[in-house]
Amino acid sequence: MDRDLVEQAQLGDREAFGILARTRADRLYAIGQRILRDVDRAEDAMQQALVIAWRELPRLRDPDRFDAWLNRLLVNACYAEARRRRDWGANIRLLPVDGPLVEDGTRQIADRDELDRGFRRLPPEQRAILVLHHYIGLSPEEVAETLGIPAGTARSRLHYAHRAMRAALEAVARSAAIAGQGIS
Amino acid sequence: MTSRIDIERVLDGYLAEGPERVADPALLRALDAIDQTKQRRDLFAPWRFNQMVIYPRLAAVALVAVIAVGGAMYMLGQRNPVGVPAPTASPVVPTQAPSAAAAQVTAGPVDTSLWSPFKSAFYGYTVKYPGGGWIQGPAAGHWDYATQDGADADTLWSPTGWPDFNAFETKLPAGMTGDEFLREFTADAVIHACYPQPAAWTHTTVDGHPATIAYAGCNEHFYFAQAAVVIGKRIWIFNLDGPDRSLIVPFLSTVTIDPSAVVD
Repeated sequence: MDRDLVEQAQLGDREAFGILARTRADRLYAIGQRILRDVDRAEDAMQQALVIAWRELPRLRDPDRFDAWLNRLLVNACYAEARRRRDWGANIRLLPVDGPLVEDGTRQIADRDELDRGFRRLPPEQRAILVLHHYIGLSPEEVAETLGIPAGTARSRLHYAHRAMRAALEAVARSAAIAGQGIS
Repeated sequence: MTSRIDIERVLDGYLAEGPERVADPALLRALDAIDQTKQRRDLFAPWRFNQMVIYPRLAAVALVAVIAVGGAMYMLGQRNPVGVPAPTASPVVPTQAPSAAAAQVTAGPVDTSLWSPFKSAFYGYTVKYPGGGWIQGPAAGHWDYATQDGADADTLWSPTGWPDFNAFETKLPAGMTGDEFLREFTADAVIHACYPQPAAWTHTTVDGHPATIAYAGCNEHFYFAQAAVVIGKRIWIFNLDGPDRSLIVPFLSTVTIDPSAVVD
C-alpha cells in the first residue's frame, strides 16, 4: 500500500504524498526532537525533511526504501538545523574512559539533568547515531544503510558516540563536583 | 565492560522519554510548504520510464517491427527473382526497457572552479566541494586506527545527504606498508561489504601522489567510492558515498595534502 503511495507521489500526486507525510510526521518529529533537544527546531527539521522528500522523490530509485531515505533526510535536516544555529555544546576532545561511572550498583548512573547536559555536549552526528540505535532500534548495519556510510564506519561511530557520552557525563559530574566544592 | 552496558541501558531509557506527536499547526505548516514546492525532475529519473504508458511503448515496438520487416522484404525483393519464396524476417526482439541502473549518469567533466574550499582541522588536507546547500561536518578529533576510535571523519554533506564526501587520515601501523594496510583495512569489506578485490582498484594520483580508488557497492542503495593515498608513514582515506561514485574524481582533483599540517 505504501509502495503504491510512494509511486503515485513520485509521479507528482500531492494527495498521496500528503498521506505519507501525515503518517510519518510524528516519527520524524520524535527523532528530530531527540537529536536536537528542542521542540521548535525539531518541527523545522521535520518540515525541511518532508519538503526535500517531496522535491527529490522522483529520484528515489526504490519506493520500498522510502522510510530509510526519509530518515536520512531528517537526520541531515537536523545537522543543518544544528549548524545553522550553532549553539550545541562544544565538541569535546575525549580522553580514555575505562572505569565505570558508578561506584556501586545501586546508585543511579546519572540523573536526567546530567544526561541532558551530557547529551547536549555531543555533536549532532553522534547524537543522531545514538538516537537511531537506541530510540529507533536500528542495528549498526541498518544505521549504516540509513546514513549511507560503510557499516564499519557506523560501528566505529557508534562506539565512539558511547565513549563520548560517557566522557560527557564524566565532565558534567566533575563540573558539578567542582561547583559543589565552591559553594561549600 | 560494566560501564559500556550501563551507558547503553541509560541511553535506552533516556531516549525513550520525550514527545512522540507533532503539534497539528506544525504539520499543517509542513504540508503548506510542500504545496508550494515543485518536484525536481531529472532527464534520467526512473519516473519517466514508469510514466511511459504501455500503448506508446507497444506502438514503438510495433513501429520498429514494421520498419524491420518492411525493410527486409524490400531488400529481399530487390535481390530475389520472382517466384523464389522470400525467407521470413527474423522475429523482432523488443528492446529491453531501460532499467534505473542503466539510467545512471556519470559525472563527466565537472567544473570545480566555483566550489567552496574546506580545510581539515586534523588531517592535513584541503578539498573543494559544491556550493548550493552542501554543509560541512568537520571531525571533532583525530581518528585512530589502532583503537578504531577517535572522533570521526570530516564530512561534507550534500543538501539531501546523498551523496556525501568524507575523509580521514591515520598513521600506518609500525612495519606495515600502505598496500598491506589497505588490504587489511578492506579485508572485511571485501568479504562482507561488496568491496572490490585490490586487483580491481583504479590507480591514479591525488595532488601528485600515487593513489588507488575502489568503487564499492552492495546493491543499488548502497554505493561508495574509496580513495587511498599513502605518503610516507601516513595514509589518507577519501570516501564518496552515493549512487554516482564517479563524483569522487572531481573531488579528488581539488585535494591538496600537506603531511606537516596533520594534527595528531
